[in-house]
Amino acid sequence: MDEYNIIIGGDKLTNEEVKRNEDFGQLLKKHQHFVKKRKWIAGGLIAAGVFLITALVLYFNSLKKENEEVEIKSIELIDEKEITPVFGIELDRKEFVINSEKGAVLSYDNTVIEIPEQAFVDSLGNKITGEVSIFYKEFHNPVDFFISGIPMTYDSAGTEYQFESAGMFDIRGEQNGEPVFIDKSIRVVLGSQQEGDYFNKYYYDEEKDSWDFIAKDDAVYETLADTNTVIEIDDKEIQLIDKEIATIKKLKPSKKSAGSACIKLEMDSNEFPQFRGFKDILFEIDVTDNNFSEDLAQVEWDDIKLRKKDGIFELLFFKKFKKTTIRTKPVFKGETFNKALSIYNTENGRKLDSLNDVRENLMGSVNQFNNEASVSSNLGVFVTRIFEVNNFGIYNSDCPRRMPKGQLLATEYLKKSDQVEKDTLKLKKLYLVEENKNILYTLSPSSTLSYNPNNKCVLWGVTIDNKLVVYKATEFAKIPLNHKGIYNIEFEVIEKDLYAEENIKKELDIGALF
Amino acid sequence: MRIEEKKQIELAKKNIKDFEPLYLAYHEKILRFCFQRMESKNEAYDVCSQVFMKAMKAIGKYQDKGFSFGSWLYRIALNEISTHYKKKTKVIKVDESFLFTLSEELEEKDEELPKRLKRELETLKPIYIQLIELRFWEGRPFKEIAEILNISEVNAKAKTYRAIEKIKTKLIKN
Repeated sequence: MDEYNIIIGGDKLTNEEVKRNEDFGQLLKKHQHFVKKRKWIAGGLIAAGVFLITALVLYFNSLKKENEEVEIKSIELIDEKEITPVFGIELDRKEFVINSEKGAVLSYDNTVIEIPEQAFVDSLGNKITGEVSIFYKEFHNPVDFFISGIPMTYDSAGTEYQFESAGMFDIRGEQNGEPVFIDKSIRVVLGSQQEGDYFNKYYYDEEKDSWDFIAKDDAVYETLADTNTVIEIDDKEIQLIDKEIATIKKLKPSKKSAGSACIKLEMDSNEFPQFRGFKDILFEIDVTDNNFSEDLAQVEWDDIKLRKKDGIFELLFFKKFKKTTIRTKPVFKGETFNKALSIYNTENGRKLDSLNDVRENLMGSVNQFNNEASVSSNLGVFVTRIFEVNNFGIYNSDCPRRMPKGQLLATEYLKKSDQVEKDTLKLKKLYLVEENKNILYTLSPSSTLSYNPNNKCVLWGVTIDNKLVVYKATEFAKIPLNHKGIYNIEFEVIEKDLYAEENIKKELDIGALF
Repeated sequence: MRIEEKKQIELAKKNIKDFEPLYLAYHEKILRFCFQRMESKNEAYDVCSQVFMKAMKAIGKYQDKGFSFGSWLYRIALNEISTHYKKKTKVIKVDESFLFTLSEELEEKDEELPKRLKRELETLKPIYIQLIELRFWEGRPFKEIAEILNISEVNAKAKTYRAIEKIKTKLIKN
């Protein structure tokens, strides 16, 4: 444990002493002296670097032909680590304006951002009230990573790895142009475009220019099906059968309920053929009918009639010009019920069985069709990755990977042209992208190029005068396997004005890879 | 961060001479911060100068993460102090007013408190001492403390109160 010397009430700095020490001119002199010294050291390092590269180039060349003279062109090394979007294109962040007291649930493509109520404080720790702007942007593929300028390498115990990303986002908050701070965690359920449980969550420390490991990333999977397709598949034939079955079932004799009020009627079997053969049919009165009253029994009716309306039997009671209608249903009691049931089963049992068989067969076909339709309309697996955001900034779901292997080339980067003597390119950024890999491999323009010749590859670079250069997949494919000596990579220099993301994307030969 | 300060940072990134307003705004705070952790004034002047030298060197890479520019400077200062004391016993100066604040927090009032407190503070781990002084002496919000010490805010809160509880328990025992 560190030892501390605690001094209570010691010497104090006076305002005059503070003022005396406050000499910016002096500090600036010291700083400038340091900068000069650093430039000298850097110059020395570059010279050493060029020497090393020269030696390397000579070595590679000696493998090809022993006594051949090679013209060595110097390579300028530019180290740029800051997050600067390529060609200065501002990231197109989406702005959400929310009420900080109430919180909000925001949607961005397949992502949900859950902001609790009173989630923000100002720089002094005071609760923020009123409207807060949340700025949000996602990055899902090498093109996004390239344009953003966000570093995609990870240093672990001195070894540099390349990030394979399952999705990255940048989230910021402001009120009236001033940054706000997170007091209660924001939950970002990131809609990821990559499956796999081998990713980790990282936070980008913008001061240290490095990624901080947060935790293992446990992806959440959900299978997506186009449910509309399933709903649309319907069978009218089944509906007709169901209707017929329901009609037959309605004819099934019912037993008289205990204590119910019933009326016995003499019926014309021509008018109600369904009751032909049945004797002692009772009509049980539906006491829940609004028209029902016990007083009905006290009235001496002029006439009582039975009718069937919309599948329901109704009793019509007449007294002079007054008509009272009450719902009823035919019932049987005692032995009469058993007899009626037996007749019903004889007449309808087979018909019902046959209808049920047809229905079952049809249902089987419909289910099979729906299942197949469901499979064919499966939209794939929907993957989400959950982040607890306690600080605004950049978050990433990544897996550190090594550089691809297979072919190692000593390269010279030139400008493609018709001239015999090609111009050497001075690159400040250089990236390799491989087909179907969600990795933007960051290369050093001064190092040898390592890549997998079995995969389609593209190189993207940025020159020191901010021009986009592209080495297309078709050119890559022409590099001979096991090439010895320096290989000239002739970049196509894009001279167009690249003012928007879409504008850049068109030039990157993405179609060859994804 | 104030818009004015943001603009000033951008200007300083382009021309280091424009760092002056930032220097003048934070010089006294950083110098006093260093002096509280140094044995002599000269050491504090040296370390303070180193802090601003480093800040000027790194200003090009400074990114507005939403925290005040000051918290970035305090972080550099803590690193410098730590480097300065690599092989020596670290110093923490405790003001009487700090003892008053702390005694209120501890709900302890005792004439012998300064002596007892000194004894107990010396037994605490450095991180606890830093948390206590940043919170109760310098009155910084936990958000900023977390930023300065490069720990999470929740951790800063939990550790600060754990430190207070530790002192309380020891003071009661003794």
